[in-house]
Amino acid sequence: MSQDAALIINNIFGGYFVKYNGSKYVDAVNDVSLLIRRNEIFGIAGESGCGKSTLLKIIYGYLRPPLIVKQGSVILPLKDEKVSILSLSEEERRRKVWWKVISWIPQNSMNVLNPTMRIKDNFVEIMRAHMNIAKKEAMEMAIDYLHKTGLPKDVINAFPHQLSGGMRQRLVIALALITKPQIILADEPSTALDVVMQRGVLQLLANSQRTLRNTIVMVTHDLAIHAMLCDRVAIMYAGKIVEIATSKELFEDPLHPYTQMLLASLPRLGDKELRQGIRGSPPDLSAPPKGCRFHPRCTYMKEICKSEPPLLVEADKEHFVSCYLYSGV
Amino acid sequence: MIERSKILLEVKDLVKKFRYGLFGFEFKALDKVNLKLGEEPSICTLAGESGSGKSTLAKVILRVYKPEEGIVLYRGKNIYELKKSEVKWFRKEVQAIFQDPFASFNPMRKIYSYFQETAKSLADIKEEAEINKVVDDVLAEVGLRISDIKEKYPHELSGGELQRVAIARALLTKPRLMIADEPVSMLDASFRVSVLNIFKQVKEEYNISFLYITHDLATSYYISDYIAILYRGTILERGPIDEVLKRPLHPYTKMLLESLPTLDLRKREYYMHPIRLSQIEEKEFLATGCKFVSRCPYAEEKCKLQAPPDKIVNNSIVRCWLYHK
Repeated sequence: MSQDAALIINNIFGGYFVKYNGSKYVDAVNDVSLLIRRNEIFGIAGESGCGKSTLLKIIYGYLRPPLIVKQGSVILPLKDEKVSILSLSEEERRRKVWWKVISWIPQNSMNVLNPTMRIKDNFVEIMRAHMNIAKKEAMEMAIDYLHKTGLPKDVINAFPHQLSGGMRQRLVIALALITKPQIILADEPSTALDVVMQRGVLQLLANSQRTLRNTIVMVTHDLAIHAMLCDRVAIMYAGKIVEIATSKELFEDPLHPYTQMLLASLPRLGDKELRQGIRGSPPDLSAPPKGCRFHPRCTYMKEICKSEPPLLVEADKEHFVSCYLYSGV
Repeated sequence: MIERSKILLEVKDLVKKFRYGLFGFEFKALDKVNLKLGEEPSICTLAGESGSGKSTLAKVILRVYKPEEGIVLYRGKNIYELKKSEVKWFRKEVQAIFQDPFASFNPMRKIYSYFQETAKSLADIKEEAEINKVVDDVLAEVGLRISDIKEKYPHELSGGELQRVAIARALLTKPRLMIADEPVSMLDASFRVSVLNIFKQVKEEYNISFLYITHDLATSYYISDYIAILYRGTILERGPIDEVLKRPLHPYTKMLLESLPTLDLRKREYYMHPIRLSQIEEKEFLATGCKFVSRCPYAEEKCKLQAPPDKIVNNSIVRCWLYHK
């Protein structure tokens, strides 16, 4: 086990039990293992329904029905102990892990800020719940903190609805960072924003990471954001991780056919060359295809791809891929 | 720029006001918007961030909202003064495609019934056999067959397929103009480009012009001929796509382009250069001068007091005092 591990995710199988025309299981995360390091921005990319947000919820230990984890563990190495997040009760997670060690930034900031409270009261409430300080002290710290992060001071007196979406999102990020967590889980934190606001929000995240030297796990479908921000990126498809590499490797020399086709389909500014989408659609995860889950859409499909799922292997240094093109048969 | 008789759509000094809250302030969601589309089939992008008024403009052009000031001329006719017979003509000529294909179709109705309805009411085709034939033709255009949809309900198709169905349905009336409001932003990346390719192909084969509304400049560059950049209800810059996106004039367009994340890792360092952001949106909407003044690196006293008029520079039209010197 590596010294610099921030999170160790072992063979997670998780998904949703839904009751609709009888009951069925949506296999959203299938045998996912990851080692996320300290002091890195780790990206998880994939299209809607690939399981990336579900994986993030499992890492955080936010297990509400119908989400269940069938197997696997999430290990959080702390200074004096190793915490197994999924073995804790929710009460323990709330006390020991959430906010203090791991913060969560959701896509919609309104889900975090209390709409009936001014921004300053939102801050003070969170700080007092997790930092054990007096109200006055918390208020001073909040103002000082907002100033440092470059946010205007007068927003502290505003109600959430009076602010723009971008400002609110930056406040949620500031709120998630104020307890100086070791790990930040960000789920599409800038998706609803325009590109200029998005840039501001991502700059705030990246700068704070540089200062705190902590870990950010960044989930977004937008590959360009991963390219601008992340040190390493994992690509998910239909509940499986198909490729993990450094950003440089992933964007300049992608190995998995899905990654290659996806990158080739994206229009780029300044380039009008005709591009092609990927034929077919992602599978229904309540009845995923056998073997490699990408095989029905893959142009390199071989016999074995239909029956046996390929393993994630290290095809190059720090470059993992799950495809028979690289692991032989 | 374009001869009068050769104009498909002309939007002149359009103002649309909304009220914020019951007793709240009134603001201009569209403030003196001008736009022209020629007869020659083309794709024109309306680009802007959320709240810039791009969907409001689409709705005004589709006769959903009536503007307070200004006019919209479609082939020389004021669309808010159409006679009853002309309204049907307008509906045939101008079709729309929206962001969420699952919201465009009633989940309880079979998809094919929409084709029958449109064929009968707008395309004036009554014979079942003939309807089948034209439906087959338009579906072929988007890469589908009648057997793919005949007995199906909307949820049985993927988002990409359903959006293609929406385009095919719109083609039934042989429109001249299609208003596509964020048609690919809800689709997965692997479907997106195939829908965009259909727009390009339909433009050529059916001689249809598109007003493509989006916040995504990369897809806009991929398919468009022209672009208009909206900010807080005002078009700050418009012109041929290569001019505007390669040699932007307005400081806002420049900032937008610089802020675009790209797959090119060499741009990383630049992307992290600190930028100035807007803080209170309300104030920007109510500004009497240029709406971009609070974020503009070139702002002067004059910009705060008076909104700049349109100015032709090269092949573009820009609304900025920098070009009035």
